[in-house]
Amino acid sequence: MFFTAILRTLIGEDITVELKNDLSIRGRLEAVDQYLNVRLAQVQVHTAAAPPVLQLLHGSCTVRGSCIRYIHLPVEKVDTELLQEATRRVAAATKETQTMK
Amino acid sequence: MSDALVDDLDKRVLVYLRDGRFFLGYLRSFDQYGNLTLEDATERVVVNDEAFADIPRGLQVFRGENVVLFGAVDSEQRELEFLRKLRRVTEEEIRRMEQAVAEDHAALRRRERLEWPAFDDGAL
Repeated sequence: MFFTAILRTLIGEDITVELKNDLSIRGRLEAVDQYLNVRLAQVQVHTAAAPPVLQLLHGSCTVRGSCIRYIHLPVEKVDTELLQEATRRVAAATKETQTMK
Repeated sequence: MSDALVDDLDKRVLVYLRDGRFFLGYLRSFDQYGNLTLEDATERVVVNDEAFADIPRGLQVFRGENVVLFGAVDSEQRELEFLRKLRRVTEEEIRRMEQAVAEDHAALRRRERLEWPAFDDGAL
């Protein structure tokens, strides 16, 4: 859920998604869910040897989370210090609920 | 997420599968697993970025795990651009071309095995 939350803060930004089949897709992030399925607008395929059929895509495109290898985020849009602190808090909270059980 | 996907219903979409195949058709349904139903689906087979064939598949359901991505292709202009670059051929013709490409690959592998026996399967 944590990573979904991070990506949700980046909705409206341009991101690049690299797939497990070496395809690189860039687009404006429109939506993301708990499986890291992402929906991109104005998609552009960056890989040189990309199948020509992908040029037919027009508008938004949905990428399945399980096929994603990397997501490249715009570094200036992510407060990594805040991210680190939030991670500490979530980890501490998780530990707390575990010891309560 | 599913709110956004509802926008694609009734639109002509492209589905890209994990085995590298492409399907075009009208999106009729989807669910939380990413299963999809396409009506009037056609499989678009492309060989060597130069020729393609559309094979009618009717009403087709895709199991979500096989889908890499899908998205609307609601643009005649893109389709025309595609048709300018690639030649449309019959299903028989595209299968022959696929066969030829596969045989070329097999011949190349045989030659590699003769020239580089140390790299033959199982030798390493």
